[in-house]
Amino acid sequence: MIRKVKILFTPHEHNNHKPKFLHLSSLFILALLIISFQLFVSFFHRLKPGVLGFASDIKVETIVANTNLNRNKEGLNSLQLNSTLSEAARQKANDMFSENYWAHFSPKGKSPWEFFRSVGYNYLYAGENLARDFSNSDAVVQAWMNSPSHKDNIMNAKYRDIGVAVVNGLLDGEETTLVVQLFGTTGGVAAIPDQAMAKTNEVVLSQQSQMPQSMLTYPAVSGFNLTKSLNLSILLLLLIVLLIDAVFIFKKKLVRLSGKSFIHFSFLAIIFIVVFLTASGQVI
Amino acid sequence: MIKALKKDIQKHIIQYSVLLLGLFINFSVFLMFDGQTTVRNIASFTFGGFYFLWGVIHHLFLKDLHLKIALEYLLIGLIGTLLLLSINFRS
Repeated sequence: MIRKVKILFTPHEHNNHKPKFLHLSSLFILALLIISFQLFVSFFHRLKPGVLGFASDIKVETIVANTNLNRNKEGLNSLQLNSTLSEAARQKANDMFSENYWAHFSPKGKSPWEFFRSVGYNYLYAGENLARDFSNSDAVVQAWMNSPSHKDNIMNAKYRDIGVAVVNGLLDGEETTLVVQLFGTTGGVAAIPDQAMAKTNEVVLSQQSQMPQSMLTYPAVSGFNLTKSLNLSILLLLLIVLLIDAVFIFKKKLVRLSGKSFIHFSFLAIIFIVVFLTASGQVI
Repeated sequence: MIKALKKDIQKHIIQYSVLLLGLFINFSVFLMFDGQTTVRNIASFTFGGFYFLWGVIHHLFLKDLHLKIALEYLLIGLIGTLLLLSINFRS
């Protein structure tokens, strides 16, 4: 057993002076295992919908406050939370769950602006920001601010109203928290045509008075956390084996046909940091 | 060991600087575009692709490039890319 471990993780005469774990065949198998695990998680989502998900604590009022904070910093007016727009946002989120999509336009071609019209919000200007799977409200607004197109919506001086909906549901079999932020300005006369609206890509979000301010989900396991833990473990194992290999090669002064272990170590160490720092959440 | 490492780095300082710069750019792009799946997916591919290309060119300069070495850089780069793509896919 000990001999097998030695052959697997340390340079040895029985593994051609290179840990078996770093052989091309082993690296290839490792790549296949990473893909297989992701396929398994996706399959599990379909088999047992709702078991995997993400825990979040997103508050509508914090999103509105942070949005206005960013606007105020640039000397822009604060947006007023509009219950009609919040209802439109809620309808958009529910539509994404019922039709199982994650996009501004539904698979049936339904545009964001149809939700404005369905609640009777006659917009002159309108826009939409979407986010999913963030752990808290601050991270959602920060991610939007980091994206130029979403930031344009948040910082658009033409908007007067905002509507926000935070809704939980199943998307692709995974417990998901969707955040819909709609922006708008009522015209009072006639709405701007869809194409002109689509160019602005602006969103208004409103909150329905009876909707909860904060929505919490407590899924059994998070697909993101599961993947992150597994990826960090794989990287840690590779880093340890590469370090052992580099030390052995140096001490035994071995010359072999191989890449440079300390360079592989550096590359994977950077990947480790990136994976470690990656937080859950997507915006569109 | 550190001494030998320093010597090797000094000998190929330009090549290692290019590697460091390339990885730093990819690193920054990945973390700056928080929540933006498309950009992060592209960064995941360029991370691994750049590493593979750098490895091949580096060993070409060293005049010890062999198919086994090229495949080693390709697989390490591929594993890096897959780990980033998977975390991005699940985020």
